[in-house]
Amino acid sequence: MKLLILSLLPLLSILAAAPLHAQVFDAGGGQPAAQPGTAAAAQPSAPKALLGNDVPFVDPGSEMAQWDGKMWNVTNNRLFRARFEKYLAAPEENSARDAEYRQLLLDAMKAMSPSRPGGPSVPETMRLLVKAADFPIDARLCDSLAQAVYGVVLNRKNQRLLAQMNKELEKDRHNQGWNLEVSAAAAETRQKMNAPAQGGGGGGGGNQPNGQGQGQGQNNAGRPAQSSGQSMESQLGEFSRAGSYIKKIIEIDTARIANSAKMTAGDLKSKVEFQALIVQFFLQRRFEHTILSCRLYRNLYEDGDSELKLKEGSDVEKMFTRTTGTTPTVSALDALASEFIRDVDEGVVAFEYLSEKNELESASKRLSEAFVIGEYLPRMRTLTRARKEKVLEFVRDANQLISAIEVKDYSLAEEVVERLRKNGKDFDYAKPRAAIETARAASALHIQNARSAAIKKDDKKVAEEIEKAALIWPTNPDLKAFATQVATYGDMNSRVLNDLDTLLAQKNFREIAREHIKYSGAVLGKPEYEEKLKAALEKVAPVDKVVAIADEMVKAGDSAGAWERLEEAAKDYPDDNEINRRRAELSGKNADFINAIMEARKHETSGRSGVSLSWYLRAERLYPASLMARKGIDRIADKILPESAPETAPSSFPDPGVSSSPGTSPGAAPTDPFNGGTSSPVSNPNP
Amino acid sequence: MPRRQSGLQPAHLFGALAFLAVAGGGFWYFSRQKEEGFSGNKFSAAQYQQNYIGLRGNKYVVTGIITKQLRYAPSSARLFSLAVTDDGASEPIDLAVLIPPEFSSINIQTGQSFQLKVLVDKDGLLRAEDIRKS
Repeated sequence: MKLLILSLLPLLSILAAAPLHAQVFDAGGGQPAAQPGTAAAAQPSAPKALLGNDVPFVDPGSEMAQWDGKMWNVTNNRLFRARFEKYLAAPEENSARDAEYRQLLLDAMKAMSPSRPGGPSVPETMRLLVKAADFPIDARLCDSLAQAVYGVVLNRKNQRLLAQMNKELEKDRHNQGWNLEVSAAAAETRQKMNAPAQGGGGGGGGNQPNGQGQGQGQNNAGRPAQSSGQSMESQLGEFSRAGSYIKKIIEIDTARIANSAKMTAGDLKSKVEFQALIVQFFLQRRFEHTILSCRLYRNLYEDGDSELKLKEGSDVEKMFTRTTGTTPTVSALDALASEFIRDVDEGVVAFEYLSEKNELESASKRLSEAFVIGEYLPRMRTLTRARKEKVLEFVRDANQLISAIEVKDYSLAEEVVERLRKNGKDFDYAKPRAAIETARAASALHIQNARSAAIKKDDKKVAEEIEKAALIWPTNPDLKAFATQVATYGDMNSRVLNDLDTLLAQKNFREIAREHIKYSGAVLGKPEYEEKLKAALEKVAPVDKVVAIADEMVKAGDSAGAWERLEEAAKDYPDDNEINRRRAELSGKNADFINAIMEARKHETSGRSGVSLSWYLRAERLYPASLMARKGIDRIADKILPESAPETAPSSFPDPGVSSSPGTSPGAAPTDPFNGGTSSPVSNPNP
Repeated sequence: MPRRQSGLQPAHLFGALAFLAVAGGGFWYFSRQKEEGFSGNKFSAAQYQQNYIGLRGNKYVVTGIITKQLRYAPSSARLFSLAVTDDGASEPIDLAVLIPPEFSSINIQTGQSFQLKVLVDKDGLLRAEDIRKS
């Protein structure tokens, strides 16, 4: 019986959560963990069904049902969860009208009880059914039952009419048979009367039985005596009369057979219809109606035939026969219904006990199991809202946990798990917690990989890792933070590149060199910017060297020489702050020398070679190592005596890293490489 | 032996007078020799460096020490650096002096003092018109 209940449970749960497409479990990655009221373990493969795929199969361990190739959790589907929550939130049905309805059904069952004084009373039951049908909770099922009973009554009436008809037909047949006999006897008598010498030809009709009705009598009655005294016409007439009697007998027999068949078919049809109603009540979980209808059936069909006329080979028939080993009967349904009612009562008692102990997970499970079976039973309907409210919040949280895990919102799932732990003493948080932590760890790992890839500027890998992280945990806050970081970095990167462009336009290479670390990071992966930055840093490098050399010369006491170096570098980098700052500082220390050079240059520019040469000589006197003075003297002297050979070979400052352009004249103007020209060298007076 | 006479004697006086005469004469002689160099306006190196414009086309007498030979042309023209110290100046001023080929027979060496008669040309270059060692 228990096995039958278990096997019937999926059918009941199907109807409890109609329509018949309950959630099918997705056994993909990140499966939801256990949720209270149901077991939510994913089933990657279907268990071997005891009864095959044709019959619903329930795995009690996982509460998974399998039917028609699909699997789902018996109580873990959206429709069921919604109905259960609705039930929990609904008030108890303890009003006077509800009580009246329940009393009516109870009275109806009592009216069909064998122990009732006077025995079961169908009319009394009918009266009560008609009254109960008016209550909304009944959904007019009592009316359907009453109609079915009425149908039986009508069928019975029809049966009686057919029986009556058959009786009449029987009488008629008897008369026809008698008429046939009489006709045959009369013919025989006439024959004897007409042909006395012949002595009984073809007679013996009187020895023939009368009641055969198959026309047997015609052998005797239909063979007229060959009498010389009987005319052909009279013989034919006799044949004709006999024939008509026989024909009528046949017709009567046919009609009687047909009527009998109708009676049998009608009776069977009536039973089948009534049984269908009983099964329907059963499958609808209207067990009180089931019991009532079973008892009415037994009283209406007193032949003792209570075997359910299920279609052979149908799933329901297989379910019953394979489970119980016998053909299902009305009594079996009656017993099953009673068993379910008892089971529901027990479930409610267990629920009440567990909820008092605050073991809300178990309590909600017991109540949900009872609800699946006995949603319409009085015990479920009269459960007070105060008791149900205690588990309502728990159940809502449980449903929310399921939804959160289904949509992979593990943050919310974690919150809900904590709430459930707090509210339910017996809540098993291990499974959901494990699922959450696993997802969290996996998502974090992918985000970390994405960060590493971002540092390496591997955009493709970043996208791949972020996608994987999002698939595992779409609402991961770290994911959002990373995305914001990337976006910010992208903005910052753009700003840095804009700054670089501005400095390049200003030819402020010194500033670029000062922040070269920042710009180096921004230009990674952008060849055009990398080249520009490299060129800018290459421009600054030799200047830094010159500045460094100048500083050393100053430390060594050769401030005039340092000034000369800086002055030379300033031709290429007129806006370099370091150069200009040092030039200004050194100008104060070498005023006479610098003044001599300036005067010499001024006069040289004006073509006053003699005066210019005088100033260069003065500068050389003030700073004998002066390359500027030396070169100036050479220039002017060559100009004065172009045909003369130079006294000293020209010298230059050491190249701080920039190669000299061949053919560069001492007086050649420097050019900016960024404007398409070549750089001019900074020459060294001390080779 | 007769006793030495004390006090100033005529011989002493005569000797002193002779010494003074010689010294004075020599002084006078060498001074006269100097004063008897090239005649002409004395060249002011400081003025030349500050504003040579007013000196262009004029001839001056300049005395200085050769500090460097800057150029020597195949035509025997020579360009020297001449350090000239103006009167009252603490430091010399270097001037460029072009010695034309006609004075190629005169040895001019670094460190020697020369007196030159120069013409200041339009570019401010001093062109020697006469030169003698001083």
